[in-house]
Amino acid sequence: MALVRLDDVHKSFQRPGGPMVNAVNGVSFEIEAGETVALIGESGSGKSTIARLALRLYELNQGTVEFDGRDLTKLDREELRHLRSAMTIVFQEPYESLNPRQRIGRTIEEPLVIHHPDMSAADRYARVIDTLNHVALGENFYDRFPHELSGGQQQRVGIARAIVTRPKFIVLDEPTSSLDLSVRAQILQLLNDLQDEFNLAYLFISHDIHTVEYVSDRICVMYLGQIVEVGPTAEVFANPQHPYTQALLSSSLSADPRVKKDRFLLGGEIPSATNLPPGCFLHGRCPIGDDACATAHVPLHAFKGTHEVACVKVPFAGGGS
Amino acid sequence: MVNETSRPLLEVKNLHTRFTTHRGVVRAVNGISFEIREGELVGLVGETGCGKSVTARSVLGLIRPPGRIVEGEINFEGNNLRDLSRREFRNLRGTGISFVPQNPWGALNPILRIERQFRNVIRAHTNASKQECWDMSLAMLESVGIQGPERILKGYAHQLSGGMAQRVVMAIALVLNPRLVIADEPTTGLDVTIQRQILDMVMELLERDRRAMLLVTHDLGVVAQYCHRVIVMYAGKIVESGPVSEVFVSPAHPYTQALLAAIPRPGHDLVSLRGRVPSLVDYPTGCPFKDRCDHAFEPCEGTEPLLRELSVGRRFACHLEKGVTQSGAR
Repeated sequence: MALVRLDDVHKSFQRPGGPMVNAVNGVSFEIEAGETVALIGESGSGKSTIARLALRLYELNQGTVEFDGRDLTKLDREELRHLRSAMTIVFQEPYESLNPRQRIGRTIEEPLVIHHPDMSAADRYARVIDTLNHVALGENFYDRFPHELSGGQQQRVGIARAIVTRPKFIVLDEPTSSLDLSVRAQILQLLNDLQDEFNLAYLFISHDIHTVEYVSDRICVMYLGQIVEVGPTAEVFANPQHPYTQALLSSSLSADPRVKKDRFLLGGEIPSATNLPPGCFLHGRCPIGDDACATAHVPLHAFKGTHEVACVKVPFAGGGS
Repeated sequence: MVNETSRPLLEVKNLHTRFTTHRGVVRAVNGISFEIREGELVGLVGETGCGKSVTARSVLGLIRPPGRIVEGEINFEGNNLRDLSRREFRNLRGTGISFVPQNPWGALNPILRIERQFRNVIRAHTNASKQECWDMSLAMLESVGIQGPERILKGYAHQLSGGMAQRVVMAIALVLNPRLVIADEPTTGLDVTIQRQILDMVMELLERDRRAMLLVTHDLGVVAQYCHRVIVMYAGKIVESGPVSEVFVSPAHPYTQALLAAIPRPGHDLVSLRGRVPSLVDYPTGCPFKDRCDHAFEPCEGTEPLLRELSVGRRFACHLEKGVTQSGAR
């Protein structure tokens, strides 16, 4: 059974005095224990909203989110709070996510105070030091303040706080986007090691194609609040089917000048999520779409095994169209 | 193709730029020299704090106290820009050198129509009529891929998406056909598909008109795919420079090699650099990269490696005889 399961999740936001923003429009996927699932997409694709919905940090409009067999939408505050030690999040901006007036040790200790009130102060201290060592910061960071740390070190603190309660599932919302290349590599390596050691499931949100290809087992490609393609990462990268996935992958520029960039496909910009077009959301920008796409209903369908695509131009598994 | 024998458009010699702060003097740029020739697209890469933006701003004459260029020459078409008055510099910007900053909102005036912002730039250098300004602006917006440019010209900055705003800023920078465009992370905040659209348009335009560009970025992919030549900076110094096709394929400096190895690739182990960049206040003696380098040996401790020629058009600053590429790896 999957550790995390989202089923037909919808979320919209009412802008004060403005139109409704349809951020997530019917998203379903699962994450197994110990697995990394990546969500990739551009700004406005709804990936960060899903990150928060998966932990029920936002209320859903429709659909269900299950964690460890329990429907999060049916839990009350107290029950949900108990579960929060098993599912945590690491944010994009490490400095913004830390209390500037709280020492590092105290920041990492706080989840223990909340979730394990019976734990002794000495045990908590030991756990914090152990966690600091796990993220390669070490004991002497215990008394420091966030501003004394580099961006990479601050992100290690964010990770330490997320693992201190020994969770099963961590949402990583662009954890390396604000970091320099060499520091990014260190953090990715750390996340990899922690996953192996604690059998963590990751929901890895990113817009960086190289990073996603490296870290994830499975990938969901998002466009305007919908998953347009999902499958094993290697399979999707080797054989992208949806025109949007193809455009996204071709806009990633290789640092090897011998690899020539592909022809780029899409025109225009991502349409507004306040006024969703009928039919396929890519209609109008898509190089292979036709008039039928303007009205067609385009659910995900199997292309090959667990590789699924939401495009009427892509043949179904086993032939036909 | 770039003609190796054409005279340099921009020639920077031994540039030192420093900032006086309460922590001491920050040596942001430490004696760098490079050239850009007519029609050449040059990428300037490095990580946060390596001095790449300060280099760009030094060339543009935009260093203000507490920053100061303490030494060096910046020659543009044979004139030393350090000798120019503010007024003379202003005459040069827009026609000779123009600037595209990272944040387009900071570059656009929120209370003037886009049309007026074009006109201000054009009229600072020409006697064009209002109609001529309009026509020039329209043509320029079209060539950076804006459909319905009339609507954009009549509107204001806040009505633009991020990608549109950056296109407008680029169009304003290019409208007087400058010989050199300096762009500081011009597409960094944008989505990759938008970045791709803009770079495809602008780089093609520059190549067609044989305009030169200094592209400051931390994105190695952008440089690999769009630039002719690359300059790699570390701790305020150039550690390597040369044609993209050579430097990115067989880097000579251990830092360049490490940067390239830090790009995640499936099936390859990530090679991360240990340690941190040195302090630019207590600048280290010897090689500034020595504490993080797997190849460091005795000379690196006390003697700073000078930038020297590896092959025609390729330079690097490392004590290893041939760098890390060929037989050099120790």
